[in-house]
Amino acid sequence: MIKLESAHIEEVRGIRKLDIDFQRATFSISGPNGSGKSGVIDAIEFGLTGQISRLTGRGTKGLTVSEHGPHVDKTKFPDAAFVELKAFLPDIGKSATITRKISAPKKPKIVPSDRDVLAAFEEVANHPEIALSRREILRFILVEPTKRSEEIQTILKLDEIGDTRGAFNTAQNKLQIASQAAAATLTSSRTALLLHLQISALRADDLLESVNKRRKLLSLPEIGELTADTTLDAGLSSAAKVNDFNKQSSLRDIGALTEAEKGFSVLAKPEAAAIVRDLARLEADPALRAALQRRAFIEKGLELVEGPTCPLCDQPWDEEQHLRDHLKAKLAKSEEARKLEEMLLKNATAIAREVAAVIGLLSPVQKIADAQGQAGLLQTLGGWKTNLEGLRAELTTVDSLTGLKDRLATGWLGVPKTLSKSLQGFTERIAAIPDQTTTLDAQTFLTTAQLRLADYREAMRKSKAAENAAVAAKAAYEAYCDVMEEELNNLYDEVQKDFSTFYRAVNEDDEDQFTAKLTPTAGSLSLDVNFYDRGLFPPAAFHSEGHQDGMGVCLYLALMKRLFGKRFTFALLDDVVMSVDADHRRQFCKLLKTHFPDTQFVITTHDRVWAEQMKSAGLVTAKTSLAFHSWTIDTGPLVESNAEIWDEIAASLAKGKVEAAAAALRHHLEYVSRLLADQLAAAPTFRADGNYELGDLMPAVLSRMKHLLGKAVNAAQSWRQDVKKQDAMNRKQTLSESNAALNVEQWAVNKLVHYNEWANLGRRDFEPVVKAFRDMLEIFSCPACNSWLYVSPRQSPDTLRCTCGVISLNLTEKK
Amino acid sequence: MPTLQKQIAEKFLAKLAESKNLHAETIDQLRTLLAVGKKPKAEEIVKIFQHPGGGDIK
Repeated sequence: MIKLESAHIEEVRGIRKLDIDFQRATFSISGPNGSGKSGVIDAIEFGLTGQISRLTGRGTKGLTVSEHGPHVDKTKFPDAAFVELKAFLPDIGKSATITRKISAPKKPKIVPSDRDVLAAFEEVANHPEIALSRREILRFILVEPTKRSEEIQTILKLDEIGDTRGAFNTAQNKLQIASQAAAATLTSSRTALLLHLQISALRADDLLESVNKRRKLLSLPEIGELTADTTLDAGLSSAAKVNDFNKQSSLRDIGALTEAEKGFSVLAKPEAAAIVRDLARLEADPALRAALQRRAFIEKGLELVEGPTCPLCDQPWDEEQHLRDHLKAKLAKSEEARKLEEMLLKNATAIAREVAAVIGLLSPVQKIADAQGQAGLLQTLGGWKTNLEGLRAELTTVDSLTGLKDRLATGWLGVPKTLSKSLQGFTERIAAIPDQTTTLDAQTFLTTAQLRLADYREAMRKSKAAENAAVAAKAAYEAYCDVMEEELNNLYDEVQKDFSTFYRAVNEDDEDQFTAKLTPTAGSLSLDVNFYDRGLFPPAAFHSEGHQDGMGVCLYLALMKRLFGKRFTFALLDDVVMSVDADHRRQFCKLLKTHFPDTQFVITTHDRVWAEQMKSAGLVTAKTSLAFHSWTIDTGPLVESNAEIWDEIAASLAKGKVEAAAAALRHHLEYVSRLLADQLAAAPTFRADGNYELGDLMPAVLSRMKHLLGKAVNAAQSWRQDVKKQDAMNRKQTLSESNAALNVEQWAVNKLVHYNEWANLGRRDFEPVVKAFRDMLEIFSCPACNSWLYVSPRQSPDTLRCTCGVISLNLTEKK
Repeated sequence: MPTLQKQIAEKFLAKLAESKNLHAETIDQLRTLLAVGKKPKAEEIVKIFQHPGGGDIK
């Protein structure tokens, strides 16, 4: 993984040009809605992965990175839109730069282009889950179990494991079918051998008895033991071996086919009828038919996916995973079709077995017809055999079965009309052949027996190999499933434990006994959480929205910890604790600091108080935080900072833009007053709607600060801390004087913004207002670290301090 | 290859080796297939098991 050092963003989303120094540290970006925060997240995500998740997935139809990734004024010049990120790669101890243009998202320029550097960036690109937005949090918490399973499988790349399992399953199924086909061939050759030897079972003693009877007649040595090398016609002269026509055996072969023919009309009739019925059902239900057709099509497509272009329609996708998810979702919708497919193929396999048996019966007769020069019968049997072999091949897929419907309904075996008559004639013809001499009969018996034994042995070898392959593949598939299940159960156990630990850390004040239970079942993953020891319930049952947000982030962190372990060094959290209240957000800071000390989080929020809490909690510093105060289409995000806000106001005034200067000042004061009211625990007049205005907050803040500084003076006096006493007194005095100035001038700011009377104010009228506020706000901040002062602990403060500790005024008098 | 997938692949191959049902050659071929990092195709697995060394259970 990586740690981000800096970013240069140009013409991406709402950003025109922006540089951010991330310093490999956790970083906060705050600003009101629409100020461009998420644009930064989009840009970083794009720089690292080549995609922008906000523009993909559900509800984003019609949005693409190429068209909607560039700034709206640069959509026709996507080359101008790019992101350059400098990152540290902890695994290899190198820093590198990656530059990615919207016009070529898959072709980033990476410097240095060392193999290990390229591999490190490729790994990040394969993990878009480094970016988490609130919208995505809900995917984990509020979705139904099957969907949650999919989402979590996606984030943990479990679908790849599922794909591997699926490949093993398909392989073992294919080998199973091949084994069945080989077994059918074996049965046919066995039947032919038994028929010829006139024995009922293929026992070595019976076989040898039948063979030795002929060998004895020919004065050939008897065969004592049947081994793999045994040749039944051993000892016959080459000339004798040339003739393999055996009249009696031939009659038996023809008789067997003739006898079997009587049952051809009912052969596998129930299976054929079932297939016809299921095919009719398909015809009557176009939706089911479409699902089934798509199923085969999609299964094939899924197997062929190798990159972000659909192998079925050549449609380009932003990433391969989205394409896979899309195809899998379609497959999941056709469960009924899957069951139907299973039944169709099961019945087709039964018919295929019968086809193999019939081929086994007709093949010897075909050979005899050939030997006897029966061209007509040979053609009939040859054509039929070819037809049956074609049928057997078509009995393997639903697609080809569809075309067999009529045949299966009307006599699928396709017995030649002349067969019966031809066989009868052929039998008579063979019977008319003078009986062979005993010697010739014995010779041809042995020759035919050897040929059929050789066929049987070959069929047996192939069948055994096919069976072994099927058994081995099945064993491998089951082993994979066992290991996968065990590992996934372990994984869910660990995720469950971490999730509970993290959630308890955030909610230790009211849910320190919190536990959660992840229950994986086939294709789904249930999540139940403890609600105040009253039992386990779905997350949305009783917990508030804020608690659910907290759960989402905690589950995300638990999953990322499991996925990357110590290599979890980077994550983008886009407004993810929006509904979590202030106290729990402090705990959230503690969680990130305690459990993820080596992870760099880039956190955006529209809540500036939360942004300041991150500073006061030490999660970020003034240097590792950025605030946007507004955004315009021409400028992109406008950065707010203690130093720059006054420069911006001065610049506006220099241009005579009093309106802009006043708006910026008011905006800044609103932000600071809300922040300080929170950090100093001020007490504005209560409003049930929580919609505090500047006029509500600022007086309360000033009053609170005076009170705190008074306490600080008294405490320093009691402890004889002269320097601190002087500092507190100076601040208090400055505040009083500045406050006096405010009483006169605050109306001007309000009036300017609210009553649109700015036309009556000039630059010189407004400059003193700006100075008064600037001087006043300096009392509330630390000149060393620029952080805003806060009280600690918040409920009953004993210290007024800054983040770096340079300012630390005791509030408790010596007793 | 993601950590979990790799972990499962290693344990899977170890389990096959431990069971002694498959030839070492088959296990090696599966190891090579899974180590590539791409999703294995069913046909590739079929070939491994159809191979004389792969199909014969000891």
